[in-house]
Amino acid sequence: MINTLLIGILAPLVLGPTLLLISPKLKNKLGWVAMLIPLISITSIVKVALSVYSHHAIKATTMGLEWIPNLGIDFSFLVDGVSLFFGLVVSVMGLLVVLYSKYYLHETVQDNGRFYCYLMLFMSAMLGTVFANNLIVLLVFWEFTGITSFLLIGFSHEKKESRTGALMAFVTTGLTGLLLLAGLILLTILFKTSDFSQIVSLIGENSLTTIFSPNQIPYLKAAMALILIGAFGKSAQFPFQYWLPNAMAAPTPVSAYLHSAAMVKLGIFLTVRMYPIFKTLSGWNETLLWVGFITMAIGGVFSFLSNDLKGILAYTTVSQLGFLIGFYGLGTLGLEHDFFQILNHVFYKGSLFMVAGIIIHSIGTKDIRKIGGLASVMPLTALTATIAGLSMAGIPGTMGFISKEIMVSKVLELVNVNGGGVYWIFPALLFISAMCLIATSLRFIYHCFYRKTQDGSLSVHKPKLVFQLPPFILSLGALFLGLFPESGGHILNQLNSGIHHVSPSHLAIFHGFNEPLLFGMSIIATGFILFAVAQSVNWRFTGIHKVLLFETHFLSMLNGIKLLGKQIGSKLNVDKQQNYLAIIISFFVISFWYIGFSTVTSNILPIFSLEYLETDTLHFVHLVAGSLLAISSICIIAARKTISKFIALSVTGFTVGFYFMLYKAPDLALTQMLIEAAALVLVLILFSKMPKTLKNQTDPIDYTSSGFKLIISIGFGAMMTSLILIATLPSSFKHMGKYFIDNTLSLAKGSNAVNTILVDFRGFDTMGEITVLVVATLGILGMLMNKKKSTGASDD
Amino acid sequence: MLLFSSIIIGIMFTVAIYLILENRLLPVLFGFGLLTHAANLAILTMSKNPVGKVAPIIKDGVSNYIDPLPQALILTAIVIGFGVTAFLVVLIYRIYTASGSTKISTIFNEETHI
Amino acid sequence: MIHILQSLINNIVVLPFFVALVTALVGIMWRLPGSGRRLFFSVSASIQVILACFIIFLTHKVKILFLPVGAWKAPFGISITIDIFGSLLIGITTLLSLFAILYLFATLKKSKENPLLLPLIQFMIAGIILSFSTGDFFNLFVSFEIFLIASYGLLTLKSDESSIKNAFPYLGINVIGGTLFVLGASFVYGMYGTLNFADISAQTSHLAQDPKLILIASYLVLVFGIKAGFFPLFYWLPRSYSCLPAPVAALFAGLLTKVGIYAIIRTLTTIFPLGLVSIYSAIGYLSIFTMVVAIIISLSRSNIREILCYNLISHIGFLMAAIAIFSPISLTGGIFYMMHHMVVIASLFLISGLVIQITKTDVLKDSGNVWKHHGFVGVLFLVQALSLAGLPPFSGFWGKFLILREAIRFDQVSVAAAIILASILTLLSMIRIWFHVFLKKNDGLKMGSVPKGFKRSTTVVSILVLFSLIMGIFSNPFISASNKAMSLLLNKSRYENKVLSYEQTLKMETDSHSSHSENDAHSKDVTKKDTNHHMESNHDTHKEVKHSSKHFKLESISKKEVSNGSSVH
Repeated sequence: MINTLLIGILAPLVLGPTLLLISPKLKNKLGWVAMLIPLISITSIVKVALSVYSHHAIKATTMGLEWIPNLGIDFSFLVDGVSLFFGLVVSVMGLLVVLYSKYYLHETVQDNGRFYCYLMLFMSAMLGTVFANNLIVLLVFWEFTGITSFLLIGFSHEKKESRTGALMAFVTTGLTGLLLLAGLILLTILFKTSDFSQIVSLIGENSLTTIFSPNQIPYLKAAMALILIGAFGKSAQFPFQYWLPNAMAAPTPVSAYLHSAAMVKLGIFLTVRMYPIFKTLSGWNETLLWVGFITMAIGGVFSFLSNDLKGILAYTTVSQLGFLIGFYGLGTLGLEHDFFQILNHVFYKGSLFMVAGIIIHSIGTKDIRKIGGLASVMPLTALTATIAGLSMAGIPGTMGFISKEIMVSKVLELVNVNGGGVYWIFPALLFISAMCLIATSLRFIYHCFYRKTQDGSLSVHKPKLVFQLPPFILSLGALFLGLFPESGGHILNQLNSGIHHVSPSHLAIFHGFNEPLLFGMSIIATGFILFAVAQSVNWRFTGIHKVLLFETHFLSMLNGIKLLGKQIGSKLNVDKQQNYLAIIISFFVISFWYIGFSTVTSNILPIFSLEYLETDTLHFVHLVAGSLLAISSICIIAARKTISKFIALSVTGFTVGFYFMLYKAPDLALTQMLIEAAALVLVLILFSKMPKTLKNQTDPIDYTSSGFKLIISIGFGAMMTSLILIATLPSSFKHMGKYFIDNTLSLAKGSNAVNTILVDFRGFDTMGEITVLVVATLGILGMLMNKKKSTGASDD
Repeated sequence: MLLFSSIIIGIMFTVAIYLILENRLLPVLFGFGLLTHAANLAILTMSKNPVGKVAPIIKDGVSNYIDPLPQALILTAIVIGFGVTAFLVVLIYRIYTASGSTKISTIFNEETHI
Repeated sequence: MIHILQSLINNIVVLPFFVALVTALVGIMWRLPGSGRRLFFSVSASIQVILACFIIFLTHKVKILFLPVGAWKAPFGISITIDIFGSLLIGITTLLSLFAILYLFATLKKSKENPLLLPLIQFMIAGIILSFSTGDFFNLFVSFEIFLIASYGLLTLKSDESSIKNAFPYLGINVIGGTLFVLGASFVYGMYGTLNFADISAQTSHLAQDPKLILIASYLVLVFGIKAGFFPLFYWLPRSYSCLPAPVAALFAGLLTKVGIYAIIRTLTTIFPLGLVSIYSAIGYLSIFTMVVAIIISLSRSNIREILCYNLISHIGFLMAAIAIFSPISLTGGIFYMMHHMVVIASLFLISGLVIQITKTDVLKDSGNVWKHHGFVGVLFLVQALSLAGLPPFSGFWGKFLILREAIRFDQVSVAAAIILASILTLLSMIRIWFHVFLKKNDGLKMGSVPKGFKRSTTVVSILVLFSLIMGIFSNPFISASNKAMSLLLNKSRYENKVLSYEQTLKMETDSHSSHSENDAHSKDVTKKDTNHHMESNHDTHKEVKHSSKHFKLESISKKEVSNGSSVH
């Protein structure tokens, strides 16, 4: 069975890219081939569903393959009501969207192979996410939906708005996805497993507070918060709602898919998935409630104020997503018929997006103010839009009505249970949102299809019938379940029952005259009044103020980061190469002394006792050589002329040779003299290549910067002095130098230990040293060779 | 001798770093040269106090040899240092011929303006 | 015959180094560039890859390969010691060098090839391989100098004004770094009387609290930090890398900073005692700055190469974070991340080379159109960019995941936050390149005809991309290898024993030299010993896997416990 499931999930991933290869040959017919892929997925998911279905219930089953055993991460999947419901929604919608795209892409987009490929990759990612059992696998697919949606939204990549939309969506969901990752990591650390079903069975019916000690509860809460942020980001909840309207720059089929059935539902999905884990944690319901209802109200109001066809739909989507999240916030109250709510949204919103696509496709504008009277051209689409729009408005007879009915009754129950007070704000927010949605829906239907156009300039391109079919199918679904809610509710509840443990109440159009009905009716009434009022002022008030559009803040924040980067860059002198050395040396010196003083000094200073230094004998000749060294090196700074500086350096060099003698190192002294002579020659050659003035040039001393230089260099010198003293402190460690003395004659057959070390004991170093010389010569050669070449070329 | 040497070496390092931070190519070159000298001396001090010790050439009847390993390390380091210094000399020559200036700030400022 | 084979196997430890060195030398003799010379170099680079693979295979069997150079016993001579960590890095190094060379051949006309270019590359590779395989402090310095001086040569090879100017700060900083390093090595000798890693480790095992040791260790970490590009020490990097030809820049970016990180990890695990908590936390603070500051700067840069360079620096911060947390899992993640990053950043530099071939510009705002005309290059870039940003299922994710996991587990909230912030900003900076170079329509840009060899170079890059894709999707073998490398790093006694008690085997070998008749018996003995070793090592592997899985199920134990515990097991 795992194989069947894997075929269902991975077939789009594997077969999607092959569409690219065959697209040049098939051209327009590619759509038909592409439809096979969702069919494969649907078939396998149904097959899997049937195999776990017994006794009128879905038996939650996990299955998987080994993936990264070292991290305890299996490629495991969970087949239960939740995953099957979402999986079927995703794959069936995928099929419809491909069918729809075939006609949509017909003329507008050239490279349809790429489009279908992205779409299939996206579908695979979605299926993987909803079926995943291992939390890390879930995250992998979750992020993959982000990547593929980035490609889909930015499909028309030469348009700037499309790129910006893709950027917003990707960065927002990417950031929240990372926070989700952190949350999931916390969860896996707390439960010691990343296997979702194990975690659930670990919890069982216990409250989290009984499983974890009080000091672990804050971590749980952090995990909850992070996971919810991930969900909110994906589902465009407040304050992340801004990306969704901008993502509408995508081709319409993408909007219909991503923003009705698929990606934005992932946040909802995650909330459902995590519900069994967090249900007993305080804060879970409250967060969902507040965020959901606020989003719902904002989305409703903004949709009322928008003029862009897709913008209107986007904000209604935001509103509806808030509705769904808020619904889960009702706690056990909200678990009844949750899938019914989701399916409702899938039906009408998918349908409406497709309708919008047909309109845009046919007349080439998105501005609702310029559209009108399309009913005569496309009666089927008009019918579709009417049904779907009324469902969005929640007019009796549609699925939307029942959905809202349930919501109203639950919210009122919530108020009752909690004794009113601040809880009245939720019905109020619901009222505002629903009222705006009704007005918006009516506007959408009326303005697009039934009103007369103000100018006859609209050139309409009549859409094909098959093109209009997918949205019609969806709207029929909304209508059917609206009229006969029980028939569909039954199946949905079976999917549901596995995980929520609630026995759902009866679904019907009419429950009798009660509080919720009155509330609902009053919403409808005010909605109509609002529409009438708006209509009378000809919608002149529309448009959303810039401050309220978070996208402007988002973009200015990005710009701010860029500016910040520039500022940091210039503060750090990244473009001033002359300062690099100074910065690095100062950092090194400062941090050395910081470490020295903070952790070490107090412990080391006592070691430098005077006794140890008293045994340190000093001969006159040492004194002379040392002083000569010090004086000659200071002379390098003190000398004004470059040539005198150089002379002082040479004196130092030869004195170093002498100092080597004092350290009983004759070989060293000899080498030093030789090298010093060679260096002298080199520098003299350099001098000869430079104009005379340079040699005699005097440096004006810059006292401001020389103070800084002096401090840093003294810090460096003192660092070396103290390091030498520390390194030469008497200790019990045996130095391996003795081994060489002892063995140089017997093993290496040489009396000079230094020589035997160089050529025998550590001959490998010497080989490296010679290599360095060879490479240095090559490098020098390279510099000089090309110089000739380049000057020669310029002569030509 | 140890304390004295370490102070002298410290002074040499101070001067070397001071020179390296200068704004002209040639003093910087001298700074790097001096840095190598100072480093070699510093390595040599690791053979502890040389007073009363003998160069590490085996002779009969002598036992208080100085530690030969630092000397061997320095021999390697001197040669490597020479290679690097030679490279630096040529590089400075090339920079000078390419930009016509020995002042580091002007050499690099020119580029940032272009 | 068996004897020769045996000695070959014994000496295989230094073979990749020698092959690279000899190739470079032959390259110098073989002065004029031509097809034969190119064939020779590519064959040699392939041989190095094969040798490296063989070494990886061997280290998986026997954990630590050890060769005392010149048969001088361990602390006194130079010991070449390769453990799994080293062998993995050698593997990636040879792989990158092979691909860089092939890319070079595809894009560079024979007539325009500088005869010194290939030898210098091989010298650099030789130096880097030696750094990964040496077990001696001073030898490490020598190998650093080999690859550094080769890198100076490569940097100035073009010898135009900008490249030699940019070489100057690079050279200056690295000369100072080299001097500080050789001083550090000699201070270590002054303090502990030895230069051999294993010997230092054995001498200092009880000194974790010793202030002198902390001082010298932090000094060394700072020195290697210059090489690795720690936060305020990174200055040498961006300018110098962005004036190199693409394949050389790819090698620099992929390898040079990692050598610094490698040296730090060695210093803090193999060489000095575990549990130097104050150093870890200092690295932790620096890592936060490195991650965040560098990536913010990258967003303000205006050309592809520099953006990549700052990304590179920022991701060094991830590795630093892995070291700072210093738990077995974070080190596993760090090692994995290191391998991933070497491949990914190198291939991104190669891809930027492809793009520059097409658009003839490196500047974002003058670029554009690539996606439309060269979709495949776009796919390559996208895969590697997302991998760099650490999105699953690409290779960057796993390393980041493990590091982040440990940061969270040990309550290092600021490190975790920095990782998240740096990841998202990396994504942003990659999207910037993606938008400007690939997606944007730029009518002013003339898309010239496809340069010669473009297809071949694209193929080379795509194989590299495929490798990193495999590393992401089938990450288990890589994670398991990193895990073994980590447990070997923390299990210091193994390394010490292998190196310091080698004397006996050594004696046997000298015996076999002297008497031929004993040869057969000896080789039998050795094989017998080897099989024993096999079993032992297999046994060990099991134990380690179990051990690691135990680690993953461990609950928040204090950090100190983990580091101590792993040193004991």
